[in-house]
Amino acid sequence: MRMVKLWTLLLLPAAALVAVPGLSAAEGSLPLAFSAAPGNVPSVQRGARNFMNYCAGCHSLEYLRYDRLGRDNGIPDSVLQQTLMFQTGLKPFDPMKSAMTAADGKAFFGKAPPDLTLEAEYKSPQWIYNYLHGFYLDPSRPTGVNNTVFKDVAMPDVLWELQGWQKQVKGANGEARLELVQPGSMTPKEYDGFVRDLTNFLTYASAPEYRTRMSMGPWVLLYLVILTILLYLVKRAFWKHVEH
Amino acid sequence: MATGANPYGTTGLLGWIDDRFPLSKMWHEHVKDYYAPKNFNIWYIFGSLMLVVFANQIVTGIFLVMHYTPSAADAFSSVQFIMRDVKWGWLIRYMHEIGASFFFILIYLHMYRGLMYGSYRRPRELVWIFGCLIFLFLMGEAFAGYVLPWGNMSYWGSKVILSLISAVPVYGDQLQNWLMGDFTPSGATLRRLFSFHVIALPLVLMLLVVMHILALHEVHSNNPDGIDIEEHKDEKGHPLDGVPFHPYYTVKDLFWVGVFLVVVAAFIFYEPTGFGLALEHDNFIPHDPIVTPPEIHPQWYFAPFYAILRSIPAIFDSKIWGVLVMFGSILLLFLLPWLDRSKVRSIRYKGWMYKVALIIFTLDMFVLFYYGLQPVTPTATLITRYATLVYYLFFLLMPFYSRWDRTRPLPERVTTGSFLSRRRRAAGDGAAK
Repeated sequence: MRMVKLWTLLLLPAAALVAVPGLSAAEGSLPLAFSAAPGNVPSVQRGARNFMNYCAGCHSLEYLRYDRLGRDNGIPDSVLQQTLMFQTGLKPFDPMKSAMTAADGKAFFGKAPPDLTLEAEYKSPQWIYNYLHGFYLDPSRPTGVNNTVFKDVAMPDVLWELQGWQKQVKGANGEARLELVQPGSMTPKEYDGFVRDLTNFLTYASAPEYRTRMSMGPWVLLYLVILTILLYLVKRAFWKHVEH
Repeated sequence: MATGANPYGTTGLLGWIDDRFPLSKMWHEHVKDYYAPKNFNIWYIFGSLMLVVFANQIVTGIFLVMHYTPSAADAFSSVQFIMRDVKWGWLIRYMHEIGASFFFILIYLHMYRGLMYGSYRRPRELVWIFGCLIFLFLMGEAFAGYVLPWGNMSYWGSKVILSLISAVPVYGDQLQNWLMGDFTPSGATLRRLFSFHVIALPLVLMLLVVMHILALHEVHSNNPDGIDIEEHKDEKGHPLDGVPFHPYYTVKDLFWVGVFLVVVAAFIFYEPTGFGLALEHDNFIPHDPIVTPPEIHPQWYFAPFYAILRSIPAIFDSKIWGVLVMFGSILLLFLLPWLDRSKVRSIRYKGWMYKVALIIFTLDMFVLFYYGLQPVTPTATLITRYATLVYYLFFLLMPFYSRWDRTRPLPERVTTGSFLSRRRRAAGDGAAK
């Protein structure tokens, strides 16, 4: 009985190392490292273009407005209208809703394609990056594909023309990895850039105030640090004569 | 002619007010002439900081309510409206959400000070009881607040916690439906939790805070040595070891408020989700009755109590036992003034038994915090069961070990200086610290 107690105590540090808050236990681990850069304006601009051309047919960004996207990323309204706004009758202040309704999406795919405005906060930019790199051929699935971080996903491999087709193979140590079996119109490096831009864009979409926050932060902290130093000097002046 | 009014004989506008309202009287009684021990250390700052955070929650809350919609259909999108379309809405929301988490960091540290220095001992039992009531109502306030964004964790977390009500025998289900306003958490539940969060509980909290401070001022503050500074007074009747709250503690508190604001601002601007603990990832999708989050748990500050709740199995098919043990663990706090039978108040003069007990209790709290946020596994359940037992034993055995403990002689006057300087001084003159 005492040995059981001791064992459970010793397991504590091990348990501490294992659990990572925020990561879903159902999804696979994230093999590819990625550092989001929502402050990279050109990347976010390209990502917006990528999203509107490949994702917006099914996925909404219902909390992001076109003109907000334009203002934050230096895209004038005219360019916005020409290159990013594809539905008729849209105004720049409209939210970026998909033309596909939820009912249609459910009928087509079994589950309506989710809104992606907050996906980067919900799942993490690293997850999105791995997801877009993670499609591989799987004949057992109705869409013919599966995904390394989202098992049995209902989404087809929309980007197959760019990336090509991947297959899951057993590596040298027995671990599963993906191998490109049919190249797409982009080289792996170009496709990786495409995915990075798209992920940066989605990271921006989930927190459009990011750049303002980052630029204000140092000034706020500087002000508060100076204020605190002055307050300390006042405190010291009063307490100088008290034995404490 | 008013008989007792304007005891300070003020004139002008202030005099006009003082003739009709005890303004200067309150200022003198509670600030300018309130003598507090001069040896307050860092552990004494958290109460003042909580006043600052409370004010922040009220002010940011007022602005949030201007733009938030308390309906199931629009709550989530109204929060995004605040984050994106309301000028500085993102800042107000982050201040409110980070403030809520810091409120709990502060209250736990504040209570820990009480544990260390015996702040709950006679004659301050009521101060402690009001404080425990504030803690209880603050938990209710935070629970209600977290449901309001109506994200998936808001929904499922509220579903789990509200389902505990059905554990009440015989009337449980009816009671749960009556409180929820529906058969499952829905818009009706959201609207009443909004009402609790915005007006009912803040009013109760404000009243309790006023009573907490009035009760404190009636018996005067304790100090890290746990001795009574009123025993040594000067010719004016002021404690020799006391300093008037204003200006000494107003300026000292202001400095620490500055330090606190630096830490809070760092979180607001650089880590507004609090590493995924203050704003959880699963709450970034709207509520979905069909899709449960991979792990349902309440906010981090409830983690130890959630761990205790989950550790108790359902005996005779009822989950009431876990609920009772969990509420019992909070109610034990109320009994602390009567459980501690030590001859001294402060841990500085207590023996090794209390010190060991407190260290074990502290480690135990960390274990409970950790496992409250982890998935349920057989090992985790075993560990939290032991941790719950340790938690209960800390309190239930206290009447014994606090009495058996060999205490050290108390000093006549308060000791000052840092921990090391006090130790050196004690070693130097060989007398009691």
